[in-house]
Amino acid sequence: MKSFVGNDLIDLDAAHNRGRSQQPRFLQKIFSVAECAQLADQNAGDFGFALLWSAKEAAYKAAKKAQPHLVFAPRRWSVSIESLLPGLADRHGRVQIDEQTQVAVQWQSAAHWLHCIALLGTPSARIEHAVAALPTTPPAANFSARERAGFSRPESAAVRSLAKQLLQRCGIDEVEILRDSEAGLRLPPRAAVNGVALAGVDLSLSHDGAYVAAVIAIAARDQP
Amino acid sequence: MNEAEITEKVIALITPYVKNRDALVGISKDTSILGDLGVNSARLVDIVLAFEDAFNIEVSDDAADSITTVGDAVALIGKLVA
Repeated sequence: MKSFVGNDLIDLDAAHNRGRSQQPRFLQKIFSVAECAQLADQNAGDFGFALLWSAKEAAYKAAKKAQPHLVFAPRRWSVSIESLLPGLADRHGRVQIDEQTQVAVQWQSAAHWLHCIALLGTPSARIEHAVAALPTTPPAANFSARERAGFSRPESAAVRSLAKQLLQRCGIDEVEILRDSEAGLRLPPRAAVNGVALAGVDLSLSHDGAYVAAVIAIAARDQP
Repeated sequence: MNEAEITEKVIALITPYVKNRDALVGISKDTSILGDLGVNSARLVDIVLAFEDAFNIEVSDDAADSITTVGDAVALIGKLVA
């Protein structure tokens, strides 16, 4: 099975992320009964909310690549994580999408952000990831016309620039990051050279508030 | 409630959650809520809750997932309030 990567970044200081754990209707719309109970029992507040929500978002991004018709129905999915309390720099868990689909997730956190990475399928040979503050000036990376057709916002440029740095770290230069549309829907971003997708390279991008995050997954050589 | 009234109300409900304010100038039924308006997934949940309150409806997960454009939201609400 091919592997697919997804990610989600949450700016813990952003106003739109504050107080989420105190919004019962919102919680009931996106979390299972067990997850709502875990959040309350552990008194985990907005940080606990961010752990659960970012896992579902990141897992969805990964699983959607394997199942293009997957419905975004987060309360049907189950996040397994031991503790929702802050204090651990790195932690691991999983998201059960359906009987056949389980996505491994891992989180990194710092004082101002939480980043979740999801991996579906065979573990990749190499994963590179980074979180960066949104620059106050436009990123230095040059973008082709094909790339620019896929985004318009400065944060989108910044996260693509970050992804290109990660690809360079893996020895992949002169790459484009393309985001196509099909039947009015935006497809996940992909790494390409001359418009052709790079085999064995998957990526995921996220931005929220004052930060951007990118993940690159390089397949093992024996993976198709 | 006719389609024009639903459209007007839908746009008013979406507006507080729009990140890309420039896109509001030319908003139409074809405008993508996530792609063009810069609404993220969490805020889309906020918008669905706002629809439920404003139109006294319940939006299922599958129905919510079908909302891509402003026109999709208007069509869905039109069906649910009929």
